[in-house]
Amino acid sequence: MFTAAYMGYMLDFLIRNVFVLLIGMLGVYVLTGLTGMFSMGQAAFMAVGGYTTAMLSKYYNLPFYVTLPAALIMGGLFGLLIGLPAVKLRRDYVAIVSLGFGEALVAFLDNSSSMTGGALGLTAIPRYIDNWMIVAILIVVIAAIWNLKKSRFGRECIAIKSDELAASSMGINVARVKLLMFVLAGIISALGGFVYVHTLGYLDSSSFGWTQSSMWIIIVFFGGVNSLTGAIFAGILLELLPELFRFSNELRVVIYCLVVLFIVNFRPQGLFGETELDAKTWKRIGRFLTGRSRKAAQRGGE
Amino acid sequence: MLLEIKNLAKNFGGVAAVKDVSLMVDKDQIVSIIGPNGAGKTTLFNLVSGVYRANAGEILFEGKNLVGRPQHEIARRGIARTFQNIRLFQGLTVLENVMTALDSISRYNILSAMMTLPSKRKTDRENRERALEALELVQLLEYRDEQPSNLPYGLQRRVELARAIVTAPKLLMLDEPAAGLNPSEVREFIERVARLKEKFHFGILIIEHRMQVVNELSERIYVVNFGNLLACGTPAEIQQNPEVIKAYIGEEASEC
Amino acid sequence: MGPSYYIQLLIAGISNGAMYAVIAVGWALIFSILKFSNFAHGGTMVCAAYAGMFLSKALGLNLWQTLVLAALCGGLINIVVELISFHRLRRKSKNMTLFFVSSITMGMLLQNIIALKFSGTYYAYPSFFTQRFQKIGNLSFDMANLVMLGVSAAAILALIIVLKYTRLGISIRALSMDARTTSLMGVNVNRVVLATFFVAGALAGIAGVFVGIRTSLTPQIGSLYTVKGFMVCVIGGLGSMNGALFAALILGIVETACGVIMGTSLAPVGTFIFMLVFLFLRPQGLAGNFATEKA
Repeated sequence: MFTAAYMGYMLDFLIRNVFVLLIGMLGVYVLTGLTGMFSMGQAAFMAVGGYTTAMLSKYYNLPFYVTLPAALIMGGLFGLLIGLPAVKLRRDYVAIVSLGFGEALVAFLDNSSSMTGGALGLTAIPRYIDNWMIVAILIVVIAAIWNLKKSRFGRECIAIKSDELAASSMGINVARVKLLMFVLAGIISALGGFVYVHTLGYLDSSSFGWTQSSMWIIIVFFGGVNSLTGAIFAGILLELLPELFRFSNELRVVIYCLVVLFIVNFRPQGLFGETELDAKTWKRIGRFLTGRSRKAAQRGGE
Repeated sequence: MLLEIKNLAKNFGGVAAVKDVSLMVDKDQIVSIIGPNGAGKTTLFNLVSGVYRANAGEILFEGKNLVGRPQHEIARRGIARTFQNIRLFQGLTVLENVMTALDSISRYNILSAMMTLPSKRKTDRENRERALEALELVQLLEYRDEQPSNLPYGLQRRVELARAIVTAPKLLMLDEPAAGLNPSEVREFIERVARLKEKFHFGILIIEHRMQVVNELSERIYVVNFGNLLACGTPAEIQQNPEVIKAYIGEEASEC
Repeated sequence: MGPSYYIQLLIAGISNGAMYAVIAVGWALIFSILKFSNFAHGGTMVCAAYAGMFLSKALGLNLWQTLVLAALCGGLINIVVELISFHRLRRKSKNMTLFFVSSITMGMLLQNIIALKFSGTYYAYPSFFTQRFQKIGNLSFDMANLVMLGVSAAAILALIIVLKYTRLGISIRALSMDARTTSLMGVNVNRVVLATFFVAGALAGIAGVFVGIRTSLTPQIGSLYTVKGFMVCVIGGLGSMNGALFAALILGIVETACGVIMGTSLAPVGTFIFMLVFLFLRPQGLAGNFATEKA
């Protein structure tokens, strides 16, 4: 089973499928994990980025340094468009607005077939992006979000998630921060779409529906409250395992759902809780392990 | 005058929570509001800090009317508050909780945050220093990396206090800050507030049930009942006021 | 196209809305006692719809028998939903996110269990009606629509009677106002919650049968109708039964109109824009009054 060819295949799968989707998922992390707004249509933003890229490069032969900014701008614009009504509404209404947007966009893509290829999607798009570039882009995005979390914006987001009223009485402009995060999340997911298209060379609307969006929410939640590394870990784990065991898509979802229901009931803070896998945590793990072995050694000596 | 409330009124669907209240707080002055539960004291705080919008009346802060201004703007003008039921941010450490009050007035933008540019580092370093100073003022320095939910009640109240004073506000509003504290903590609290006032010279508005706190700290006391102002005066005057004794002290004095 | 065409459209829209009403009223019922949306509602619906279809084929049932059985299945499935995804949470946690994740996950689970077993094949209900269209004067109506309208109205009427006059109904209404007091008054809250889930599930089952009759069954109708049910409840004002009722009719008519104007497949875009505009103008919903947060 663990032949070199197989390992190579898995690595390829990890990068080309898991990592690419991970970029899109990080948009959900920013909105749902960090700010506490249920974004149930985030995959649609990936579609915005993907279709913008695909149509520009297919119909107008534009190079990536044009399609990339175009995709990001479109993602940000749609984020603004959805964010504007959403931030004015109650928190659970954000879910319906984003969800409705996702469904509407997929319906639109399926039906304007002259431009978007309808349900069949678009094919034969130039594939600029190799595995190394995917890894590099992912690292850059993760680093940016990590820094964001450790900045005033991260603290403001977590404050808003925890207690909106207290947050605004600390002088935080809640609506503005939320809107900013909608735009940022839109841009991040659109970047995911850009990478997706130039990696695979094709796309169709079915990959960006409700199932994908709610999958992302489950992953972020599974990873742990607030934890970026938790979300990344969960994303890799949950996307990679089914490929390892060759589950069908439906069986995979069924198993995840069972796991998540178990977690909701018995470990509601998620896998990592609020902990990040940063240097401090590694040190603590190290201390924990060595401390234990020292104790074991003492016991052995007595 | 720092804060001047004129004929403020607020009703919720026909129920008048605040009917007609006027009061004043000057800088470097501690003023208390007392009154039975449900008298409209917390509503008054919520009106000043912009959680609710007043139906009638004016809230003048440094001469400018605050009615209708959004909460965050009111906070940035220099009004800080604590809450009756502690509202600290879950998921942030004690230090980060205090820093959030400074974050909203930090000036670096989202791009420099994502790239950790020098401007971001400098601002965050300064904010961190200020937050640590505030924590030191409430003797919480050693708990800076704890999650607030892990701290005992009395310490959580102090975290809220640190978060409120870190911006050096002009007006500090404390909503039952001594509730749930034991006698020695109450003693410490009284001394702490007096010390903070000496240092920052802000005006302080306190809602409190414990007469010990009210009498020792306040320069002036307002008594509210059923949304109306019942009396106003120095602690000594209030203790003698027959109406107040009837409405309030008579029922609750035995508690103190 | 004369006025008769528009009357036919209007009736189609209203019957469409009546079905949404059956879904949304169940949703609102659960929201009113749990103070949270149950996103597994569509999952329950699709499971009950498949169960009803297989039972009616296997046993050769008529429409009414099928409806009763599907309602029963829906109710039982919804009890399982409550026990697995909310029972423990209700006592342990106040965290909204958890209820949200739990119900979404449950909905996906139900839908994907169906998908695991039946995806790839299209299933349809047997045709219950001997004639598809009914002519009244010079108007012609789809029989399925007419029956759906009648059954939906009857189901909602029954629900209103239950809520108004029975002991269970009174307990449910009391619970929706104040859970603590209700339990202090000696009402077994758990039993009332389970009963509410049963009622909501039964309504979802009835709606599921009609969804199956009007279109073919796919697992995806679960999430599709979750979205629609939620939309209706939001437009109506979350937790409001009357609001949900009116919103369902409005959405049904709007959707039918959008279908005529933009084509059926683009109708979701139209309804979404309608919802956005509506929420912008009246964020609290038709009936809604926001509970102000206490500081």
